[in-house]
Amino acid sequence: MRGVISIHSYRGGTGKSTITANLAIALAQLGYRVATIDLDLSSPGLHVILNVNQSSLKGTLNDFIYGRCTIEGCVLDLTDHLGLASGGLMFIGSSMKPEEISQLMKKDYEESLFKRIAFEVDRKFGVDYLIFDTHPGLVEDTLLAVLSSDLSLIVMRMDRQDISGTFLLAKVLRRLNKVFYILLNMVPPEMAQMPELKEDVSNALKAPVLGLIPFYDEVLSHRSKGAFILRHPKHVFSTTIYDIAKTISSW
Amino acid sequence: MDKVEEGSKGREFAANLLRGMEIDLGEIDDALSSFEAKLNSLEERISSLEERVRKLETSIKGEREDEGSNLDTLL
Repeated sequence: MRGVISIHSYRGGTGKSTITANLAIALAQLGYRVATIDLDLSSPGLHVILNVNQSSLKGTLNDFIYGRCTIEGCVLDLTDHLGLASGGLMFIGSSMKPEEISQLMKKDYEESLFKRIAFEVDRKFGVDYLIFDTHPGLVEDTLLAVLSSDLSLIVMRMDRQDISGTFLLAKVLRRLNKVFYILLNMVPPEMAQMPELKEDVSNALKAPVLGLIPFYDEVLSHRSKGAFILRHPKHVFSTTIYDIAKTISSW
Repeated sequence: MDKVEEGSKGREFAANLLRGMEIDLGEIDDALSSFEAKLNSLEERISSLEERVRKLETSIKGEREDEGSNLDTLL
């Protein structure tokens, strides 16, 4: 496996899951085998962007954690479903059943669980990249996902709440000696034109900025009806995601 | 088949890591303030440039209208 990536943010609504889904598809379209896992255990939603119904999940991450299914039983191969001509895209969803969310929130699990899941997925399906879509904030589940990853992307809007929280996340990840990058999303168009913006953010947060995605009405209007990159591959949002995928794959 | 073992302490481990971290919150406030100041100054520069562009456009438009009316007079 080339790497485990966790996509994270301090606050919700930053476009983390949208970026996860689109980045996973972009990497697959570059010819890689990618697996993505919904680790937003208390509010799963990645399946919606990937056009998967909860009822069509044979098994979920919850089932795997509680020994109700094997890793093969909860991995869904979306390569044909999404019409991907190259690479591959595997998906593990989390349960939206209230009792199962509650069960998982109450019970602890082993420290190396996410590392073991990544290992198992790679062993059974041979993936190049595994991407965790995490729950926002400085919560234990997310911290364990980040600790199990080779690289973390912190998605940040140019909002004061996000900036301040991202500064905190950056400090924590530095303390843990983790490799991470900031990804600016939904940047107001006039601000996105400032040539110094990426450098200023990088200096202020003492962290490298991997990319800058301006706010686009078209992405908002798309309303998570499938992955934007598949519907509008030539849109600047999509081409920016492809550039980020190419950068990651060049490492 | 994998199971959650009794006595698993992943979350407890993560919580302990967080508990052990002392973060200077004042440093976060200072970083936010200085970054905001920088952004404000960039925004002001952009507004001023946009204003100059607007004035130039108005002036060019005015000159073209003058040229048009001069041409009408000549014709």
